[in-house]
Amino acid sequence: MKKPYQKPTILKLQVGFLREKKSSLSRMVRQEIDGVPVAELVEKFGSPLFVFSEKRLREQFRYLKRLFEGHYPRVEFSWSYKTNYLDAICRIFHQEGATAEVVSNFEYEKARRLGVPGDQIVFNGPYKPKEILRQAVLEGARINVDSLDEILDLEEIARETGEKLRIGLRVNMDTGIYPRWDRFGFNLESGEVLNVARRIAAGGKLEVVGLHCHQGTFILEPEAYGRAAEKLVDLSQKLENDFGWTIEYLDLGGGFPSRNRLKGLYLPPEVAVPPLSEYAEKIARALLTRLPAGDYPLLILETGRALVDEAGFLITTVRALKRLPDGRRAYILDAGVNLLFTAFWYHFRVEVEREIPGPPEPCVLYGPLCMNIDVVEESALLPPLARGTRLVLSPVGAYNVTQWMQFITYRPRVVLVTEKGNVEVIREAETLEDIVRREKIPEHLK
Amino acid sequence: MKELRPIINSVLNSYSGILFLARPAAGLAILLFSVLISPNLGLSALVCVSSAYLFARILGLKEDFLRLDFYIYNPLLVGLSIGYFFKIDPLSLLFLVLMGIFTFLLTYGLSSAFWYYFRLPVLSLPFVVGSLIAALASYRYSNLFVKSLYKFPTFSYFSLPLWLEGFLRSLGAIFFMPQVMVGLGLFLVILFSSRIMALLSVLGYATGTMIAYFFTGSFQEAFSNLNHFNFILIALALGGVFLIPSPKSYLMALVASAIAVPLTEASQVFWEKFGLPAFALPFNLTTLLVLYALGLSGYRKLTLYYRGTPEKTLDHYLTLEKRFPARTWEVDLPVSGRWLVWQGPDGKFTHKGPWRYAIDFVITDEAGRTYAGEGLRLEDYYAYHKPVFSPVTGRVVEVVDSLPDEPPGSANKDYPWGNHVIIYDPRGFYAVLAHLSPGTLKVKKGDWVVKGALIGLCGSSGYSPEPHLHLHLQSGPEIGSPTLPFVFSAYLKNGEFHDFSLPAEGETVEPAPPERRLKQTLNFLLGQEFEYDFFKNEEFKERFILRVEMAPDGTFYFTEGKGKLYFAQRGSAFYFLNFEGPRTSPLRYFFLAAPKIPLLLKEGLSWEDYLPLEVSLGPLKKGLYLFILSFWPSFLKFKARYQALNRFDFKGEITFNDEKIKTTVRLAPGKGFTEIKIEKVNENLSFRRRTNHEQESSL
Repeated sequence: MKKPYQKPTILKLQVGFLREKKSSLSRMVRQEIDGVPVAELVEKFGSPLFVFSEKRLREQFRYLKRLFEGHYPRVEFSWSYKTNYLDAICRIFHQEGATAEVVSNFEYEKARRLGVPGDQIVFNGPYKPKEILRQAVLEGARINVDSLDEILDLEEIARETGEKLRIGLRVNMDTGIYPRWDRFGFNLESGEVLNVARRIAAGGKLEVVGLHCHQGTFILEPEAYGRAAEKLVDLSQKLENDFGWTIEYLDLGGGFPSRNRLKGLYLPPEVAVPPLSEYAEKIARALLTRLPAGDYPLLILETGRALVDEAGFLITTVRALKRLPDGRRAYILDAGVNLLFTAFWYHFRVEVEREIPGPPEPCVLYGPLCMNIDVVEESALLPPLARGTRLVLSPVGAYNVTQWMQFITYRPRVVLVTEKGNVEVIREAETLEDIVRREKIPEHLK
Repeated sequence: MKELRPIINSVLNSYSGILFLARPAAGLAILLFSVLISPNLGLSALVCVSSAYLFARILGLKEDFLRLDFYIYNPLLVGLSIGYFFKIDPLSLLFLVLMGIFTFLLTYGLSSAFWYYFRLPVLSLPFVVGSLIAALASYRYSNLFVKSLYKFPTFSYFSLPLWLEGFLRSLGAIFFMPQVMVGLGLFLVILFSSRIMALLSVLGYATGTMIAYFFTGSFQEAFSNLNHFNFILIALALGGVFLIPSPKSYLMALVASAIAVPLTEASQVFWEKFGLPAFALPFNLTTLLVLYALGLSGYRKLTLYYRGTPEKTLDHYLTLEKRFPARTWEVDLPVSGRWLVWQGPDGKFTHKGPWRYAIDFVITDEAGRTYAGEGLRLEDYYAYHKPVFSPVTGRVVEVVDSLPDEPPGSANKDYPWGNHVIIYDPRGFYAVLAHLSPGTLKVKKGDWVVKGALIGLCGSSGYSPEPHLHLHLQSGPEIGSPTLPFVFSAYLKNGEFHDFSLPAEGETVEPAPPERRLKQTLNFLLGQEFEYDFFKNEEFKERFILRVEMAPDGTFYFTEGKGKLYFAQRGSAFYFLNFEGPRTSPLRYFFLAAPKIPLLLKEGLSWEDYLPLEVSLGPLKKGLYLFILSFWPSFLKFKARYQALNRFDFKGEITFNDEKIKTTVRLAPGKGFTEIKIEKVNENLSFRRRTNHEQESSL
């Protein structure tokens, strides 16, 4: 067979690569997702296309559950809705035993609509409209209070219902992480938490039964969780002693990283991101050494990204080729930052649907928007791609299908590759009708 | 008069105690028989037993202690035997007093020794010794008025079949009154108290005597041998008293009655040489021998706590002992998360012989593998470096922390246990955790650890082809002492709550740590009161107040005035232990609806429990059921299944043969039960707590 023509290039010889069974190049090829060929997916469901793997979702959940429960006897995973609140995805996690962590009336209603009972919902967030707060109270949700005004709201609801309400306090603290997320909840070091606790006790309408803290997002320092756990245990013991409350749960929030390559980090995620087992160990060790043996509060973890990110793929197609003035190659994809909000934080793994001959060279991946910011990847190392080549971007499971925009173009289909290998549409592509349905034209403009 | 009652009761109990009944009324009946039919006999016995009792009081022994009837039924029997031979006069009275005191001391001493060395009851062995001594001594005491030298009138009975007469006379012979009327009276007393015993007495007598008939060839001789009362006692003791009544205990009773035949004959021949009666020696020897052998062989259904009749013992066994096995120690699961029982007791690899009661744990994934990746590194194994917790509260007596973790696939044959911790539990045993990872132990020798305290991390040291945790209880402080059986106080298996049991090999378990809120919700304190409205078919019936009170033995109970409902928090669950009281007491519905509440309710969690018969049966029906159950243990399926609806609600379904009862319970997050509903075929009952916010807010 005649070999296709290749442009002559000079390549640096890298000995290490040769010794590997798989060269780094062939590793950048993805022909299928959970056994379903990429080409088939695109043919059937179009491009761009979000693909989620049920197998990976369940496996990752079970892995995390096994991991944390192996270290601490009472753990509850509360699926962080904002990460990805597609019904099908939530259902999978609820089936696996996760409760729901919601931060708004919309998310609360979505969880209830999915059949999650109120007492299996953790209600966070800085603004909980009073109506939904009342509903959550009546339905027995775990409410983590963010501000003093919310406490006043809750006291009013307590007066209405005539019963003492059990609430959680959201606490922010110094765990050595920068930037500190100190706008949420009450500060620990300044003594604000204790002041608030005194106020709550004096009010006599509420009882604190839980403590919550969320240090930030994509936290790469497992020890920070250990410190947070220690501080929460100390605080809970102080509250129990001073006010006679029983702290039933400690909620360490989320922020656990996925194996995604954060911008600004030089090292690949396999090296830079500590394994989740280290987080589990640090948290459990802090709790087990500080708590009286056998008397364990529930540990709630609001994992989102760590569960879903690596189960999500975006298939996109090269729609046009370009050469930039500086000589770099550039490709126009049919998916841009409108669909990939996390492109602002991550360098995705870019895989090509088939092995393409030719040396890899740096190139830029642009999205379809006529906006300068629409850059999916500033410098990918790819062999020369022909128009119509499909790329698979990952991990894209977290935050994208919630923060995506209907901007300039339609949002595509989302499919789920089931455990049996079937492909199910879990969100249909948007149509013009979807977008204009809510619009109204005033009489004089008709 | 009130102070006299316990004394009278315990004297009367000593009469009924000879027949293994703890019923003063039965005792009174027997006392009256003895005094009416043979005043000489009856009064002698009374004198002997009273002197023993008084002496015990002088020793300072309390009523509670003397309620154990065998302490004074032995002097009673000796009194009967003396009364049988000698006429009452001042001299024989003195003799009675002396022998009463002697027999009491003998009983006191022997029972303690028997229990200490053999874990056996003393039965009527002191009586055998005491009456032999009395008989022997009286050879020299010519001043005693020997009754048998002087004819006393005997009634001639209306004609009864020989076998019946033989049985009744043998029954009477237990009390030295081998007369048909006495036997009939005693049989009625037995029948009235316990149908199981009545049956056993007939079966035991028939088996033994028929075999004696085969050997001797004389029907007449076999059925008129009064020593055959031994068969009756053996059948009673083994069939219904010291073993839990069951087909097996009945079989044991029959076999023992049969093997006692030659023994009875032999001892009769032997003692006749000395001109002495054989007394109850065959009964004592046979029963003790069988009991000792059963104890050694680990027979599971030995009676631990005899409740007065075999029926009551069976009921107690079916409920309490089935719910809380008392023969094995319970410990906590020493791990967190889901672990697979890789090798259980009597396992296929190493849990053999004296080390058979042990468990090896590993962690597996959904595919059943114990490791991720290729399993070449220790870190690949899920169990590796997972925390290990103390299963007991006690003192650390040994710590080995320096052996290396063996790489997967290899094992250290020189130090098979690897790094281990031995903890002495004050209940009297040692708990061993083995194959820990070096340098991870958080305890040192001499430390006091509580249940659930972090001990170290799971490793692969010692004879450990892959990281796993080994747990056993042993009798001695050195590693490798013989192991002891144990159960876990609570664990979850496939979403089901299990307690006081052991998972089987290949099953996956996880600990069931109690939730802090529920622990408080169901922590009832002395003097707390809860007011309930009782509705029947939605119609208000009555209002009652539940009060928490404490029994003398330290257990707590609810009472509304009529019944008592005992409860306790044990391990990870709240239990209703026992219900006492009339059937009209609403408390039994509380028992029905919530015999056990795991302190970690959560949607979908389910559990099972056994219910005592009295919570749904009247006394007559209950007796009948127990009688049938003793033959046919699976006759009655009185199981209850419960399932949590959420953190504070659960429902139950009780299947009682064909009848189905549905229950729902709502707990108050603050304290106690908010509402209990019982749905029967034809009626709906509900108990609603009257809200009192004062109590809630004062918490």
